[in-house]
Amino acid sequence: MRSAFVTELMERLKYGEELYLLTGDVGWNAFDKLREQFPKNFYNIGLAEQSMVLIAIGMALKGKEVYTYSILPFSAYRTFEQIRLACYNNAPIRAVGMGVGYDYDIGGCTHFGLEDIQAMTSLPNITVVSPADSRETTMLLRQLKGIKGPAYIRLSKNSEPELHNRHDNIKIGQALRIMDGKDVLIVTTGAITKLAIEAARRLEEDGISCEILNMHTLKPFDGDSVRKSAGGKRAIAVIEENNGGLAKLVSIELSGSYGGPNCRFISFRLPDEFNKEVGRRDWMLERVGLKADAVYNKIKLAVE
Amino acid sequence: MELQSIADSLRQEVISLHRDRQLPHIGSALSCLDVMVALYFDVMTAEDTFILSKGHAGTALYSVQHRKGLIPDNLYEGIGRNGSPLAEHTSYPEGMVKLGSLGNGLGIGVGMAMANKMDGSRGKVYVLLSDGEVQEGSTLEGLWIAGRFRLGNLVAIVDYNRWQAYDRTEDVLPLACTDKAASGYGWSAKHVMDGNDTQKMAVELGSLAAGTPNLLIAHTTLGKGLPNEDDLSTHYKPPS
Repeated sequence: MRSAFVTELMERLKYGEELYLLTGDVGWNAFDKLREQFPKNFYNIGLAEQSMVLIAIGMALKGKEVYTYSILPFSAYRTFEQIRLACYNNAPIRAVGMGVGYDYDIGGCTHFGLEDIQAMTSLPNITVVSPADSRETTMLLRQLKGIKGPAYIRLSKNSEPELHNRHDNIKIGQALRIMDGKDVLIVTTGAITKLAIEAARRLEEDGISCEILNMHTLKPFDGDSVRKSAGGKRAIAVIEENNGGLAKLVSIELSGSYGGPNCRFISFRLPDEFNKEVGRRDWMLERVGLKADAVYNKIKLAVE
Repeated sequence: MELQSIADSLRQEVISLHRDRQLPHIGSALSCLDVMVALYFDVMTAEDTFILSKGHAGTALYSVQHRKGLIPDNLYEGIGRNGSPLAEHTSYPEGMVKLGSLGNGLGIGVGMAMANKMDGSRGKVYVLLSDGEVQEGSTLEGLWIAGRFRLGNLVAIVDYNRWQAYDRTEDVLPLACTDKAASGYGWSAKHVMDGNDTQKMAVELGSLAAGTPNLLIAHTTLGKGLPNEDDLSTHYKPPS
């Protein structure tokens, strides 16, 4: 996703568009070409993330298209109040958080993005996008051009070029159905969508058909689509690389009644804790049940 | 009208407003009112931008903007009443940066000054800070970054009334070395001893160094013009 992000920015710069990338001293290698070719559009602000966002607010209020970039916690948490000010002033900054969930795996908890869905979607005026693959990243970045307020973009380090073939239907603010089915509704977001697809395919083999809603936009949250798709389902599963932000968004939309008779709600998420042990991402995700086998088993059990 | 008479009449307006609506932060509003009068009635052009980083002096700014015709009578009259879009911490008019949490105005000013440079605009950016908010790390970052980018179109004014919300500034984190720090980061920095002298402030603001960001530390009096001026109670208690 990062290379899709850089490529998209460079393409636009080549076409003569005016935009600026501010980084908090992060992006070695990834931004080298952009910086070489467009030195006037690239600023390493330094290890001063709060000021990076404030500067972006000032530039955006003067009409500039400006992206701020750092590792997710420094882009989204260190700067939370500054992003809130961007929201209050409706300054159209584009804050990019790199590395969701356990992406920085052996790096440890300081670098994890466990809570950003809850933190960022809690802010008024903001648009939050969470692409599932590289092509979604490109498309969402393009569509953000039409959004007049601030936006937060969460990018995964572990992404595929294309996880599905329904990119043409992508529209900011609308859930994207990437698989059709009648028994189970899976709601997911970000690169972990890959796991949702794997689990759904295995369930299909057992005759359990799954609909997958990919929430590439987390705010505004397309609750209408979630409610419609939930109708008549035997189970609703939420799959996310976050400590429950998506599950909460879904459950708010479904409060009251949802699904068919005896419908089960299952949340696959990261635990709400700082890991005492770290390892490679796959190992860490498997330990918390974010693995195709485990998801398949749990959903199967729920509908049988 | 002479600058000082505008400031004097606005001072009475602000005091009445705080007394009538029982609004706090009168001390902070009155210490920096004269600076804003100098900016709005003498120094700034249509291309310039003003940011009130110490947003709690909102009523002083509103009074100046109202006098300039930027805020309509009915809204000015509604300050402190239910339903007013004019919060005590600056929230109006549209186009002004809405602030109130300290330490954020300078960074936004840096971004605006950078944007003006990119556009080749002659517009300057003026940021008014409290002395207490210099303590915010983000203010210090802003000083550093503005110096590094040689933002000659950026002017920061510190309202040095020697009080912060709970104590004397000197007794918490003294401001003493701020001008030296700013100079070290590439600013032209100076103290202005009579920051409540509107005419004097206008002269100082009109004769700044070129090619570097400028920092003026304006020595002012908290609650200037009140019987209990220079007393911390003016930060909290509305005038009676």
